[in-house]
Order: sequence, then C-alpha cells, then structure tokens
Amino acid sequence: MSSMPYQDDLTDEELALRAQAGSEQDFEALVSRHAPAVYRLARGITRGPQDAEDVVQETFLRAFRHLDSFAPSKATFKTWLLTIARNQSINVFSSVKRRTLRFLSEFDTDDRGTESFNNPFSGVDKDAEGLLAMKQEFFRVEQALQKLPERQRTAMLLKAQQDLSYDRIAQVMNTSVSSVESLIFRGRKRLLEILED
Amino acid sequence: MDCIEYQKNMSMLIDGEQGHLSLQALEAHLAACSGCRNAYVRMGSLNRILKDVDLYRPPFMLASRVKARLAEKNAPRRERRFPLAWAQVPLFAMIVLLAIGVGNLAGRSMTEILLGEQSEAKLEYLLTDAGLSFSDIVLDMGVEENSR
Repeated sequence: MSSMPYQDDLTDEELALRAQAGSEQDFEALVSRHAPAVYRLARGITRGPQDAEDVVQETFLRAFRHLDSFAPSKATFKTWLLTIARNQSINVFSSVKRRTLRFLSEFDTDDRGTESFNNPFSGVDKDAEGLLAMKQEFFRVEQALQKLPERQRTAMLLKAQQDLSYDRIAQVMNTSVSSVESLIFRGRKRLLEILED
Repeated sequence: MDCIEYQKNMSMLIDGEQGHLSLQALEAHLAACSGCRNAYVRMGSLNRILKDVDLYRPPFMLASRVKARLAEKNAPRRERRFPLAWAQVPLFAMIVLLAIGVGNLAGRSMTEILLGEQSEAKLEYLLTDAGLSFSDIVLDMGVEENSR
C-alpha cells in the first residue's frame, strides 16, 4: 500500500511519534521509507540475500515492539533503526560465519542465482560491452568489500550508501567519532589495495 | 606531521567532514607531495565507485513483505477481543451443564431451573395448593383426552 499523502510531508521522527501513539499506518510509512536502507546494511554485513531479508523483518519487528524506547532527542529514527539492524546483522553474521566461510564458493553461486531480478543491471538498456564492464565492476567491488573486517565494511557502507555523518555512524556502531574516522580511512586504503591488486 | 595524517584528513574531507587540519594546510601539502595527491585522487574515485555501483539493491516488494509479516505478528494482539468471546462459549456451556446436573441432583427439573426462582415459586405454589404434582396434571390431561 502506498503511503498516504500527508505522510510524505512528515519527518521520520514525526511518523515515529504518531506510531508510538498507536498509528500502525504511520509505522508502515516508516517501513516503506527505510526497508531499502536496512536491507543494504544487512546485506553488506551478512553477505547473503536471504539472511539480509530476515534481518530486515526482524529489525522492523523489534522496532515496532520497542517503539516506546525511541526518543527523538537521543537519535534520529534512521540512526535508531540502523543500530537495531546492525546488531541483528552481527548476530546473524556470527551464527553463520563458519558455515558461510566453509561454503563460500557455493554460497556465492547460489547468491547470484537467486538474485536474478534483484540484479542492479537487469533491465538496464546498455550495450553488452558496457553492461559487462558494469557487472565486472560491481562484483569486483562486492568481492573487495567482503574482504574487509566487518567494522570497516559497515562504516564504509553507512557512509557510501546512507550518507550518514561520522557522528551518526558512531551512534549506529556504538563507538567514537575518532574510531569511525580511522575505520573509514583504513577501510578505504585496504579497499584500494585490494582493487588495485 | 606525516603523510598518513594528511591522508586521513583527506578521507574526512571527501566525506564532507570537518578535518583536524585547515584546508590551507592540506592544500599546501598536496601541492608539495605527489604521493598524497595520488592518494587523494584514488580515494575520490573509490568513493564515486561505491556510490555509483548500487550495491545490494533490495529485492522486489521487500517493504510489502515486511508489512505483511508485521500485520501477521500483530494480528493476535488486535484480534484478542473477538476470539476471547468465542473462547468463553465452552465455559458458558460447562456452567449450564453443571447447573442442570446440580439441579437434577437436587430433584429439580430443567424447567424449574430455566424458569428461575420466581416462576419456580409460583409453580410450586399452584401445584401444592391443588395437592397435585406436575406429573399428576399431565396424566390427568392424558386421561381426559382418552375419555373424549
């Protein structure tokens, strides 16, 4: 269901406050707004599309159940939500890490197989050569990111994909701003080394 | 100050963050250090790639599935009032059956129990006044009918 016209004019925090007062419709508007961001972060941490979707489901379920604990004076709704998502992702990532590493090659093949219609290149009207170059670039960056430690990868993804400030990233990751500076800087350097190798 | 510190500040600058060094100091260093100039260009390119490559595109209908799951998970809470009314039906039936059982044990018929105390009192009054039981009246009516 698309959000009601008035909901587009409300900020996340206003919608969250209305949801706290019992409006499920306003919470659904927040789901529509932030499900993609939560998925991208979860996908970056857990690596698997199904795990990422499970994290998205669990994140919103938890957010809904603990909506009373959200306080706009402490954090933005997005920061609060991404904090839940990151914690959920780490739980999932830790529990499947060994299995994932053991079956990495098979996992990667399945991953691409099941994601045919999630493929960012599907439906793109480009010439075959350009499309191939884009695909190669996509998988090269994806593979390189997976070689980064979780904290560096998360910090970089929160910056590159969500465009969060270092301050917000620090909140999501429950760390200091100076740690975020270092994580992103070291992540960048490492990523460049991997990509240029 | 070493090049690593300058590069860390460049990384922050690329992200739109306030670095620890002034812009003038950074510019002066970049003008003099080709290694850092190169690092700055590479970091900027990497940033563009990460933003442009559209990693981890969410699956189709993701938000709808989340909403459906939320509705499903919250449905028992919302519907509690309605199923509770139905849940009370067996309890009510048990009470009625128990009342009938106890009533029968006490020698009272279902009619007496269901008509309540007031009707019961009237019935008892009428029957005892005439010196008849309810079964006597029914039998009498049957005999009258037969004789007709």
